Amino acid sequence: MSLPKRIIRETERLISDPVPGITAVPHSDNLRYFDVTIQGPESSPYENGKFKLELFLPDEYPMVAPKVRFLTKIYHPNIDRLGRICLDVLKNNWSPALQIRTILLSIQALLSSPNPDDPLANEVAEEWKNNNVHAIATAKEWTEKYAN
Amino acid sequence: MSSSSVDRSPASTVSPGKQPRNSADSRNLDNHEAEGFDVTGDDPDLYIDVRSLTYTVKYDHLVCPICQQPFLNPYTTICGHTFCRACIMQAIRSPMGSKCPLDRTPLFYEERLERPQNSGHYSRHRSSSTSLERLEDSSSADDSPSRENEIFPAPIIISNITDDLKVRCMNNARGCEWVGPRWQIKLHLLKHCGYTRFVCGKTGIDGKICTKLCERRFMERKSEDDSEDGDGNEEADSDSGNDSTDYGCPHIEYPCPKCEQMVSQIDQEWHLKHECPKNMVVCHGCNFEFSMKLFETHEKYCEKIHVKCPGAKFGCSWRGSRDILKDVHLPECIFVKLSEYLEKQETRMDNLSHENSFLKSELSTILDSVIQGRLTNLGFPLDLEEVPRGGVTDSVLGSMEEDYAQLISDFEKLRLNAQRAKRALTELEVSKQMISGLAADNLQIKEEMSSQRLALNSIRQQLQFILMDRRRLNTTLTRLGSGTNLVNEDLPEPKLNNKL
Ligand SMILES: [Zn+2]
Ligand SMILES: [Zn+2]
Ligand SMILES: [Zn+2]
Ligand SMILES: [Zn+2]
Ligand SMILES: [Zn+2]
Ligand SMILES: [Zn+2]
Ligand SMILES: [Zn+2]
Repeated sequence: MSLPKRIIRETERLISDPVPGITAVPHSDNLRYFDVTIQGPESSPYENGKFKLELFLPDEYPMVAPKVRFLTKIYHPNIDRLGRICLDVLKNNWSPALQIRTILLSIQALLSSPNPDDPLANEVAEEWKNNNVHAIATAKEWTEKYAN
Repeated sequence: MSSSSVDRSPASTVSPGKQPRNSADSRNLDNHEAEGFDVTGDDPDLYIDVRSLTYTVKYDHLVCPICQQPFLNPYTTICGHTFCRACIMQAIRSPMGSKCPLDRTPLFYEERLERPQNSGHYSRHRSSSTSLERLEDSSSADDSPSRENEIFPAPIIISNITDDLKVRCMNNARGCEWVGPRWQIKLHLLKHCGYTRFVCGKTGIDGKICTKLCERRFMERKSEDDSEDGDGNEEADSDSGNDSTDYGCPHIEYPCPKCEQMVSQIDQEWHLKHECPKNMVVCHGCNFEFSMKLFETHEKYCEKIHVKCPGAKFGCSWRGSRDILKDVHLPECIFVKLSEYLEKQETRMDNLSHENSFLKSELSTILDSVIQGRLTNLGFPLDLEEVPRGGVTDSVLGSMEEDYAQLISDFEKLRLNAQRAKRALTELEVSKQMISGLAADNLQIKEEMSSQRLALNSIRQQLQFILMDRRRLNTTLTRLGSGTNLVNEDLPEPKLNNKL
């Protein structure tokens, strides 16, 4: 199956006009598979961290959301041990008018404002709610340890 | 021929893009190996991938938010958003459900009466097909008095504008230069484009039907034959071509009339130009004879061939042979001498127009992000894309304001300086008048002084005269021996005289 023009256009734009703090590069042998890096947002516990992610566009894209996963270990109430992300626009709030770009921006925003009330990693979320200072310290520690 | 007939009676499959290369063609390195549009098989589902078209014009605000291409058969929702029909139909059947992909407005839509055309179909004859669909829509609404659909055909003007966007022929890589409105592409590819490939379908040398692909320009007479039949879609159908086998399969090889090498009608043009050693031409410069394939290189270097002056692009109209150009014209051509300067100007112009188009595109991305900002608000509680972009524009505006304030204060300073200078100038004027007044006074004083000096001198002379008289008188008196006291009294007088 040939690559839809929409994916070609999105890829071109991601490279020619990149989002600050985000890179997304398609694999040369599979143009639906992207290597993504997201810079930890300023004044968040992830500041100065460089997080690797993988993004895959299923055949049904854009009718279904892209599949995104963190490859770098991260301490975050909405991201589990396997790197899976709990984000409404990646699940039931996906719309075919959204793009790779907007999804990556949403993930970057999720790093700035974690949402422990809608958790994926339960222990992390508990810690985040009950012992916030400690949780943030752990997140910083993990960022230093794993996200370089 | 009416174009709509193609629409209604599709008789062949049209598959876009690459076809497996035929080993017999591997000799050809020319354009008919390039990617393009081929008509194969006899599947009645006629399909041209309009989404793979290349547009030659800008289409910034006519883009479907789902496929991000100019609208194809645009449909509008009750919330005022427009999509391709195929795109929105696919979206409401996707897991997202019957909602607007841009603002999640719930949309009621019910398929009413099967349409004869499938949803992915691209209808070329826009005005007739659009009105046709409209008719169907309204008539079907009458049939079922249920709820009104909330997705409906967009205003005709939108489809007209998008259908009129200029596109390049899909066979551009094979050599077709055609550029035309999008609604004509199917007609062009199927009826006119010489580079569209069809199944040959003629009897080959072995008596079997040839199944190779062949560009239309090599089957010219066959398609003429077909249009006389009055049935435009039979040409691609291999079964219908039986009567035209007389003209022979263009793939059959025969000896080249010049060199005897075996070539087919399809390869002949390429063979004569790039391969045949016996296809001779006479150089119009030096009058020597060359084979066509050698002449291509000779033409670039022949001293006697007439060429344009390199300054032609700046306006030099000189034409002549290469050697005269080099020895005579170039040293004296003013355009060539100025070319360095003119080229600089040209690059400057290019840079400026490039910058201009860059700014334009930036503006449209800003506009787009404003629209998307609305979208992402609903997807996620943060207005994601708008924040950084808004920040950028704000800082640009802010720095512009600063610049402006700086300019105003500079201007104010200059104005004060100018006023000061003006005042100094008037002061200078006044003192100049005073000085000239003083100078005039001075002159007068001088005159008076000299006249007084003159007067003084005459007094002195008179005085000396009197004194001399007096001395003479004194000596006479002493000679007379009387009045010694008188002499003593007169002594201080000469001293007084000295002072004057
Ligand atoms: Zn809407
Ligand atoms: Zn679309
Ligand atoms: Zn063409
Ligand atoms: Zn043939
Ligand atoms: Zn030959
Ligand atoms: Zn010559
Ligand atoms: Zn010249």
